Amino acid sequence: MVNESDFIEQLISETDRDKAFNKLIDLYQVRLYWHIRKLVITHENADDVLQNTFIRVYKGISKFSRQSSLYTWMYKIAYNESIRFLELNKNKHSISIEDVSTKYLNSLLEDTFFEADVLQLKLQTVVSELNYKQRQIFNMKYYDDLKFHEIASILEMKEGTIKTLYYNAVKFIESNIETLTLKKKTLIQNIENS
Amino acid sequence: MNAKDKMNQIKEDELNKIHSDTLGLTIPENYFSNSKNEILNKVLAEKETKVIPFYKKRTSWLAAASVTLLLGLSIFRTYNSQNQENITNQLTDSIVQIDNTTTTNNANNTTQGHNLVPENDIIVSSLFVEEKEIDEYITNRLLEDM
Repeated sequence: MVNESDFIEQLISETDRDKAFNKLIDLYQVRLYWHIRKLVITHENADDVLQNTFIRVYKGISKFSRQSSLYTWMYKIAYNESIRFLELNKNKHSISIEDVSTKYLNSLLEDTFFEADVLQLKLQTVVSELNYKQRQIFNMKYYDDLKFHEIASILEMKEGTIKTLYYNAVKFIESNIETLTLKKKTLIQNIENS
Repeated sequence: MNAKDKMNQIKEDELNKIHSDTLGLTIPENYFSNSKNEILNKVLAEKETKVIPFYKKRTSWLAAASVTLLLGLSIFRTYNSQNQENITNQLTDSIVQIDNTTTTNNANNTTQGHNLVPENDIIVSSLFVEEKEIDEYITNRLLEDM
C-alpha cells in the first residue's frame, strides 16, 4: 500500500486517477456510509448522500490542501453533504437539523432497514434526547472512533468544547440508561410481587 | 488481499455489526458493491459532461466578459451624457425661471402692492418673526372670527 501523499497524487494524476478512485471507494465507503446514516437516519437518504459525497471528493481532490488526513477531509465533506441534504429536504422529510427526539425516532421507525429490539430502541431513545450537536459528537466518538481533534476540525469547533459536550452526552446517556434499567428492575419486581 | 486490506475488511465487518447490533440499523444485501458501481457510473457521467477543453472554455469566458464590458460602457456613457445634459438643462431652466419670477414680482409689487408675495418668501420671513408675536396674531384672529 502506498503512503497517503502518493495516493493523493495518484488521485490527482490523469493516468492513475480511475484506479486510485476505485481503491478510495473500497477504503472509505463503509465508514462514510455509517457516518452519513447516523446523520440522515434512513438508508435511502444515506445512499443518496454517500454517492454525492464521493462525486464531490472526485471533483475536489485537486483542491485538497492536505492540512488534515484524507479521511478527515472526506468525513467533513460527508458531514456537510448530510447537513445540506437535511436542509434541502426539511419540508419533504420528517427530520431536519433541529429535529426533536420524537421526529428522530419516527424517522427511524419508518425506515425499513431499522430492525431494533427493545433494548436497542431504548438506547436510541436516550441518544435521541441529546441535542443535535451532542448527538453528532457522541456518534463520531463512540461509533466512528474519531479523535477529538478530528471532530473539532470537522465541526469547526474548539477541541475543548467538543470534549465537554462529549462527556456531558456520555453522562446523560449513562444516567438515563441506569434509569431505564432501574425501571425495568422495578417492573420485573412488580410483576413478581403481583 | 494484503494485510492492510484484511484489517480494513475486519474493521468494516465490525462497523456493520456494531451498527446492526447496538443501533438496529441494517442495510440491503450486497449494498456496498452495488453502491460502488453506482458511484463509479456517476463519476463516469461527470467526466463525460466535462469534456470541453480548457482553452475553449477560456475563450468563451473572455468573449462573454468583453461583450458585457462593451455593453456596460456604452450604457454608462449614454446615461452619463444624458444625465449631464439634463443637469445643464435643468440649471438653465431654473435660472430663467428665477429671472422671470423676479421680474414679474418686481412689476407686481410696483403696481399691486404686497398681495402677490411668493409663498416661499412668506415661509422664510416667518423665521424672523418672534413666536410671541405669532401667538398674539393667531389669538386675535380667532377672537375676531368668534
